[in-house]
Amino acid sequence: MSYCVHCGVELAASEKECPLCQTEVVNPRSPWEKPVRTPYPQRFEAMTAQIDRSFFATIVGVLLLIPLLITVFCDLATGGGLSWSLYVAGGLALCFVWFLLPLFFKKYRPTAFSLVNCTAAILYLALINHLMGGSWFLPYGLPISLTASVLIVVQIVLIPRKKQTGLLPVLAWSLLCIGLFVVAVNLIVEGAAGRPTVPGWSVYAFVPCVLLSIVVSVLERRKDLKERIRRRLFF
Amino acid sequence: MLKNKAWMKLDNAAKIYPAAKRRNWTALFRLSAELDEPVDPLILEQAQRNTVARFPFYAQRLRRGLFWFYLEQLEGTPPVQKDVANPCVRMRLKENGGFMFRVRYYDRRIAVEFFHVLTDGAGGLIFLKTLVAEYLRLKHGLQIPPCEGVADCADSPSAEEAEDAYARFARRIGASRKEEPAFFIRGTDENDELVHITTGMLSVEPLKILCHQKNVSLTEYLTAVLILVIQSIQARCIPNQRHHKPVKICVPVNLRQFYPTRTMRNFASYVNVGIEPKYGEYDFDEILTAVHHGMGAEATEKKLNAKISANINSERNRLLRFAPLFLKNAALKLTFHLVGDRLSSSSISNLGVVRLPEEMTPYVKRMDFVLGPLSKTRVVCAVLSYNGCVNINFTRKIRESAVEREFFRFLVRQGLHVKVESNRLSLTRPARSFSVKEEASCPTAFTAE
Repeated sequence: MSYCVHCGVELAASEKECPLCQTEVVNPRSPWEKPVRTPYPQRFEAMTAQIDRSFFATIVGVLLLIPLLITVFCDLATGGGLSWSLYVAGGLALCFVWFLLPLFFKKYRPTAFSLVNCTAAILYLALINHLMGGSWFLPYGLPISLTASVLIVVQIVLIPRKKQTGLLPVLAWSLLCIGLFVVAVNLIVEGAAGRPTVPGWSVYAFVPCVLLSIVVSVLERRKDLKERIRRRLFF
Repeated sequence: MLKNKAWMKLDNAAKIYPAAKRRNWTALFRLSAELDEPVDPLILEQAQRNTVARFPFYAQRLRRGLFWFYLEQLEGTPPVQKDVANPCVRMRLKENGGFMFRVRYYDRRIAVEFFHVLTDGAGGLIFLKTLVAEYLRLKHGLQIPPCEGVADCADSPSAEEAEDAYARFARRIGASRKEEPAFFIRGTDENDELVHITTGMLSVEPLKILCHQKNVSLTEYLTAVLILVIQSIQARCIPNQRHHKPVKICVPVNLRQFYPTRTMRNFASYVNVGIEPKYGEYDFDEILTAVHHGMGAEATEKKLNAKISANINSERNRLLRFAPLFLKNAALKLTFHLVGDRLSSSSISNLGVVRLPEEMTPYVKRMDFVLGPLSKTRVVCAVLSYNGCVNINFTRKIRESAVEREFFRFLVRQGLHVKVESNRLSLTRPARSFSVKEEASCPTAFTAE
């Protein structure tokens, strides 16, 4: 008969260590030996393997090759070279990165995936710019999409912590980010056009966003008010 | 006499479980009896056949209708199975021949695991008692009278035993189901197939004396201990008291004590009783008072009836009734996900004192009640008293054993003698990708003191 020195409970003969605190049973008079009869058998009910997500992603990835090859073939057959089919190819590649790539990983890593997704989107924009022979990517497309990417990543990094406290803090952060994004777009457009980089029209969007963000933050702290609003808006 | 129905509707409580069921989770519970000698599987098989013939409403298959799931009568019985180290992991209905219960044996133990669609703990207990009585009759030729919840297998089943008592006793006005979500015990999730069972065994008498001193019932006392433990865990996990959530325990209540029914299908409701730690730390006596009065106010016929009436009213809602099953299923799944287990931090189900006919008691040494893991709740507790001994079984789906550790340590501090056993040793398999040693050294939120 052994007792756990930490928990004070008597341990059944089958217990090599305390099941409550994992302290090993040390009884100099009778060292522990595996008893003939244990409370549960060794037989273990195994579950069938989970659906292989990476296999699913591979299958869908291969299926995506069908529209890709058809468009490439049609493009080659009609125009004699690759032109418009590259838009489709880029779009499919973007879909693959956004929706299928995460399935190859066991753990969902929102920050890493969002960085990859943003990079893929920027590259797709660059491809479109190149195919169109445009000059909008470097002055407008790249800075705006980089700003959006930074704000998205900041949001995603903050969301897990906010998840426990509910929707309102996330909403407050989102409003603030939208306000900042509008100002950034304003400054980028002005800068690219060679005008002085001071916020103009974006102030009309930024101020309400910030004010709404403050209102939401205050509302989050006033539980009674939040509850009253919820009660009134209940449907 | 029961006219053998080809099919049956699901009772009100059962309706949520097929929708909530997942590939890796089924709402199960397990009842077991330990005999004085090793179990003979051939005799057990025969005993099971006789018992199922007496309770045909347990030999059912779950089928999909256009609007609702329904139960279809099955012929025969499922094969008795050897017991496993990880009981109550999901039940694959197809693998079990469509049956929603399974009889398992190991050494001296006979265990029955039920899918909650079929019955609740009280109904399952009658099945187990009858199964064991039939086994003993076949093995030793005992003549066991049909009393103390043991049915005579020679009798015919009665229609009342298969009735949906919810529908019979529900009234018009239902109560709101709205409740604040409770604190959720977090930890390192185990694999789907891994479940930790820790059993604490203690004498009834000293525990009863403690309960009498505090003027509370045994269920209330154990519920209060569980709340105290979870309160301290929340305080450790979330230092900012403003963010503390209510600590609530779901206590199932057997409705048969209020209504004249002999149903052996589901007929239970529940009470979520607890404290609001945001307002300050509760000591044990304060928690006891809250639990005692909370149970007194909530576990009444009127309040419980209002709860079941609300569910019945939803079921009778025409819009819901005529919605196709796939839509209803999605809605029920979502409801279960949003509401289900979120309203309580844990659950404690006490089947009370189990008595057997005198003829059986020399042969039955011990009885246990184990709840299967819930969908979200990580630690649950089931209690059963038999032969002067209370068996408290904790089922855990996380690595950290803080809840049961603090729970049993508290009982030890009250001067109670607690003996503990677990399925830990049986889970240690060299072929597995992790070891129990690793588990002990894992840096987690709740480490051993």
